Amino acid sequence: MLAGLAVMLGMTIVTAMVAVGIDVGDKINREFSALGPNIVVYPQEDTLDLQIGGVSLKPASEGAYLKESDLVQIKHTFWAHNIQAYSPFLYAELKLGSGADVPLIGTYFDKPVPLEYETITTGVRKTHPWWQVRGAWPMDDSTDVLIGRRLAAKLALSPGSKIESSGRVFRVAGVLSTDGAEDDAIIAPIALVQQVIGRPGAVRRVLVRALTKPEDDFGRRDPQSMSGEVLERWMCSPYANTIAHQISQAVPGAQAEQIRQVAQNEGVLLSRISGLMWLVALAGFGASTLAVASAMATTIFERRREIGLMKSLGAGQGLVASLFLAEAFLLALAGGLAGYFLGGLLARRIGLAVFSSSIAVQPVLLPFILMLAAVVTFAGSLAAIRKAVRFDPAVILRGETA
Amino acid sequence: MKSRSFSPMFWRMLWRNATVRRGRSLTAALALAVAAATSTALLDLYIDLDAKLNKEFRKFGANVIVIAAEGGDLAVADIQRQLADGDIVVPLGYAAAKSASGQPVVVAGTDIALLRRINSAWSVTTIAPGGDAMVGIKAAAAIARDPAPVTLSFKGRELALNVSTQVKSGDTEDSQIFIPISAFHDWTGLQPTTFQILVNGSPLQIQAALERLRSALPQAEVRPVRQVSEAQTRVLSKTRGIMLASAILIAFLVALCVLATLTASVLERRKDFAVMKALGSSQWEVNRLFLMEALLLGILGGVAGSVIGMGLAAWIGRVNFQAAVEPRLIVFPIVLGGCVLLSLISAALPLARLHRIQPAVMLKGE
Repeated sequence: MLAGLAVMLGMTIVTAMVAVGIDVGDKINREFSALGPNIVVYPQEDTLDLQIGGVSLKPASEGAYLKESDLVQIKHTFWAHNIQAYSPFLYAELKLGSGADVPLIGTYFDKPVPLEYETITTGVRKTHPWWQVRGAWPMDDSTDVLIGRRLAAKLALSPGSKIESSGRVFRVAGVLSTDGAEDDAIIAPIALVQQVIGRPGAVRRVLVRALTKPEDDFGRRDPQSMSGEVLERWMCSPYANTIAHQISQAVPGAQAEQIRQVAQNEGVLLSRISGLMWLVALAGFGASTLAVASAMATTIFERRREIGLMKSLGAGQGLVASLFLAEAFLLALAGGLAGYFLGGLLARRIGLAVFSSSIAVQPVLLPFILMLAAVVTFAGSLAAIRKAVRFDPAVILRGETA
Repeated sequence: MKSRSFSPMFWRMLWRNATVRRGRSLTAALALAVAAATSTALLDLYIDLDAKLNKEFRKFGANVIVIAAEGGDLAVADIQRQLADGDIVVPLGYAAAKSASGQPVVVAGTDIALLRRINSAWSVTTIAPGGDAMVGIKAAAAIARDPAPVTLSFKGRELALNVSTQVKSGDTEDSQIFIPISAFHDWTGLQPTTFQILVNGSPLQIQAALERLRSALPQAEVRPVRQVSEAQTRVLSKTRGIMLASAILIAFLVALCVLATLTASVLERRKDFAVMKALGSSQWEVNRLFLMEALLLGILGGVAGSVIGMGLAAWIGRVNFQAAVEPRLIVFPIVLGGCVLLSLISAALPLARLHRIQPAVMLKGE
């Protein structure tokens, strides 16, 4: 009874810890979306960025553009599922009635984009989760805009106010606070900004948020220097570089780069955290193993009287040992199975409690857990059985232990 | 009674108990040591986790940005005064200059070494060892057509660029040229207006530094780099949560198994127990012997396990964070106390059960 319980408990913990260890990287990676975009896409033929303090000095007429209609290709690359969201940006200036020029930024807020089989929504609400709006987010097909917090204070505007500029009227849907350059700008649906500068479909750059794999030496290699199989293997790992490379190829005239400060560091941090969880899982694994083994040893030791009886009735050492091992095997199967399911429940609970999304146990883990249970129970029993079968039955039956 | 209570005989019985059947004592001590080692390692790791992760988050670069008011004068010392030792302030002045071929480019005057230090993820390659300027990769391509040495002009004044390194950041820095702040000032006459600040510590400490800067520099604009601090808060709390859940689970399992093993080992000795009672020992004397044994076992297992656990935590820290996890003094008494308590409970439970049985029945072996 004790041994069965121990096997079950031990395997519960092992299942839960392994499931958590496998999944924690993915879960933490999703938390990193708070860091914002990790890949930037800009036109290949672009002139230099002229930004000071986040304000673009480059005239809207200068430099190259990407085509908005090509951007959907980003979601048609091999690693499309790893691309969580993207936001296009277009920069211009708006002459206000008072004569002042204010920066105008065009983007997607939460725009529906039809793909082949589904429609996704993408935009700054997904790529820039730290942007906060007082009032409402504008619709992407409206002429509503957001106004930066500081600009709103300067112009005494609030949600519902109207902005006039050379014959156009925009309604302020909300006040945006980012603690960045956007606090001094007007942010509008990108179609609106394209109209203002008279360039339909133009996009200056795209910021992409992708789930990436921490970069290792292989991931740092230059795709230009690879060929055939190696290149294929490189393309099949979701490094930030790989995803950027694929975007560069998929979007005509585009060049994609990883934003190193984000992409590199989140990779390092991710491998640290999942490494830590694996080591903790290993500790749990070791503790469970020892617990099961010691419980097995105790149980068998307690049953030495039975062994004595069997031996005095003529059972050989081999028979006694195989009987106990068979029992241990059944115990391992039952305990392992129960532990697998309980561990699954436990992992789910942990996932819900910590990440508010459940952690699933892969069925592929079941044979592994059963095997582990068998090995651990065997290893725990072996020494005790070996000792027990060597006892002189007469001594044991008299109740004197060796 | 008291004088007789810890007689040499008592100690002799205790000693013989432990040495005659070494295997059993060893198993029990080992189980306790495993429990103590795992708990110590997990507690040490858990306590150190925040510090370790906060240190990792420093690599994301500046977490506060101060922008001087227009026309206002702000020195690094004014900012540094509000910060702790070890916090880094990088001054940056910007100017829109033109290359000889008329290509407009943003030039930043800064402390290049400090800037690189807080942005360690940038990829920097050395072009010429003697120079003092760092050129963004796109800017380098744009001025590559100019004859060397490249000259930049700002409001009619020229500067000969002495390029030493090339930087790739994937961000706006790729289009910029960085020169030392003194050269920048001599050339443009401009002062640094933007200050990238790396505050060490937890999100709370960063927030406190932000408040201090805001109240000390009312003219300037003090901005948090919100995405980094938000990610830091989120990742920290999640990691802590998952770590705590795992630690509790493992500790619980280990405690349960130790309890089972120790209980069984006391139950197994019911014959000793019965003999003692049959020979006239009082309930108190029997209890004392067994509990004293449990106490010593608990101390032994707890101390040995704590030492092993500290080593384990230090090893995990070195492997995973490239920095040892310091053993915490607070953990030792907790783990030791837990071990002793666990050991005493596992002895007291079966003892209570055994006292209800007649010694004669036990000796008959039923």
